[in-house]
Amino acid sequence: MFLRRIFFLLTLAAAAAAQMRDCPGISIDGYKVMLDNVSVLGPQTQNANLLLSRLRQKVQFDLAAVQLEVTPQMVLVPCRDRAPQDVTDFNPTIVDSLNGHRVLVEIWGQIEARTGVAVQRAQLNFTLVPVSYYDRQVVPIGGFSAAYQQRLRGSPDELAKLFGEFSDLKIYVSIAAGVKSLKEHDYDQALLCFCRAGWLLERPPAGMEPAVRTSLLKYLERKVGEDFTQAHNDKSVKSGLGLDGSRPACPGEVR
Amino acid sequence: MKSAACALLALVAVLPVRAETRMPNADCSNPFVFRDARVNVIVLPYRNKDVNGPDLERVSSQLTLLLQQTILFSALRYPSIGTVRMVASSPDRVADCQAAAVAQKILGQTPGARQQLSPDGAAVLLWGQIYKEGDQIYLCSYARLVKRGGDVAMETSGGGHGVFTARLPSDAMTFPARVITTGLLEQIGSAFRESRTAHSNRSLTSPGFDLPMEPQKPLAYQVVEATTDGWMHIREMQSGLSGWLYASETLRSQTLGRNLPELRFVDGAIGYLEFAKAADPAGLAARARPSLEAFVESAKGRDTSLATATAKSMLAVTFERDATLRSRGYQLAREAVALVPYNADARNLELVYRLDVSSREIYQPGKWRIFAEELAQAASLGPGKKYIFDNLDSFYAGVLAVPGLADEAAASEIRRRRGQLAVLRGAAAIR
Repeated sequence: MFLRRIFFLLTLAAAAAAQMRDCPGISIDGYKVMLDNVSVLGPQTQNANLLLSRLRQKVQFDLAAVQLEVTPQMVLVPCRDRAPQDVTDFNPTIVDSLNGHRVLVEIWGQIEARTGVAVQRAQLNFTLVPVSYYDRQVVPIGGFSAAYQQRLRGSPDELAKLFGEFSDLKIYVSIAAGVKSLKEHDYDQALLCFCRAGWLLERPPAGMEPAVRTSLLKYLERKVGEDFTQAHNDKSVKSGLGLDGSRPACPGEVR
Repeated sequence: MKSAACALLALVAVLPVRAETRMPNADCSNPFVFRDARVNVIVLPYRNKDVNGPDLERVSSQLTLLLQQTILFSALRYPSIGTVRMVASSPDRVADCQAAAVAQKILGQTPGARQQLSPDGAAVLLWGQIYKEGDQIYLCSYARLVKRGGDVAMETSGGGHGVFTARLPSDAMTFPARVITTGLLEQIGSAFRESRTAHSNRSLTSPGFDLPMEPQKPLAYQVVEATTDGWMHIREMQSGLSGWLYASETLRSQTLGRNLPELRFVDGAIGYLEFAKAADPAGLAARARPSLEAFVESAKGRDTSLATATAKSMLAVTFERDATLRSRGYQLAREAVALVPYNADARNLELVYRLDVSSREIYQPGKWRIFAEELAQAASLGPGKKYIFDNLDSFYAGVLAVPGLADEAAASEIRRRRGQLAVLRGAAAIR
């Protein structure tokens, strides 16, 4: 019995290692967003495959919008052989490595189906690498995620709306890029990212938990303060935030 | 005359064969634009990164052909446009169709263009993603505006206090996903096919030839002339064949434009880009206005903040030269900031516009400091945007030049800040 349990644990560990396979693409230069395999857990029913196809498409639409409209520039790295199972797969060693490779966000997800039952779960998960590395306490238990199982089954018009609405991804990429820019002493870039994320959070995406939103807004406020303080104190960097007369806050409405 | 007509007919007779050999001319790897057109619209492929197959390829080709035709008929309102639909020359050259790569080539930043934009030429690039389920087609469009020779949207002396420049909030934007059916594409396609005869003169009974309308054979057209009664004189790029095309009422009703409001944006952007160098800017502004306003109206409640803010900014810029519309233009610039308050260029445009419409109120004791603070905020949101630092520096110079506006302490403070700005302007120029 004992040996069987050890064998089971070893098998699980081996499977987990395979799921967290390294992704060679992250060695290239620049900021990156990693897109892991979004897969079906359980029987690959026609229904599950259709939702999987829609979920993958949603990710592609969101990523294109992020790449076109969000600065700083970032590279999309597809990692089809990598499939994290849950947030605990991102242990400190893995997060350290991703952060060192300037990965901003890793996206992963699953469709979970069971025999004879409709799809149980269709979820995207987002690992905000710099936040996980520098400010782990901000990461909610279970990580950042968005559930889509209901909305992916909508009518064509509802589906088009889902494909077209702005996503959590834009917010998460902005926050991660801000934290990383701040750490790399690019204070102006960090301010832009924090202010954009703060504005997007003012009208949060449908699936975001209110507690997560509140926590992120507080976090951003703190980061903007840190950004200004460091810009003023860091004489080695030329930053617009260091100009006398500038106010340590994101600008709001026009007066 | 008779022999000329025979020659034309002979050319027409070989057109389908020649079309095959024209493929490379609309090839993304060696992009072509009409150098003498004021604005070129380039339609690039709509792709799907996960799925590929003949069915999706066919729909994508059909869609981009109809987009090109719809844009071509925009020419009825604008004096000089060219439309080019490009495809990859082979499956392994798909990356060449990325908008950024094509833009760099036609701007002359990287080699490879068969023909580049003229020194003051402009282009609108349109492309997208496509996803199909049964007869439902989901698509998401993207646009990029490129200008050769600087992309200043607005320049003002701010009441005679210096030179202040502004740009649009963005030159690249995404539009919300839309859903259309294969049936709708067929219906619009057949309407275009009915109007595809290019006549030798402005008469439906005059001889002519049929424009090739095969989705897999991309061609490029330039509109040489357009008349208000629905006729336009077009020229095909490779053969030089030309003729008069009549836009029927059905085509003028812009069925595809109603389903894809981004086509209104593209239409308005053509007008905006032509406006900058037109002999009749007021006329062009008036022609671009309905499309931009229709796009803004359609965008309500959808996530198109950046595109809507850009459309509002384009309207604001075109209104600026008209004294009767200037205050409405300023209001639009404010609305653009409300849509994207984090955007340095939207804020800078609003501030430059404010200087333009109310500089007397700004250069007042107790007022100028607030304005300077807002300009500094805009600059801090736009890393590397030297022209915003330049605007702030010009503003400070203006404050110092107005007698009695800044007391000795304030003047000393301004001089110190201009010293800081000089460093930042130098750093931004390098960046």
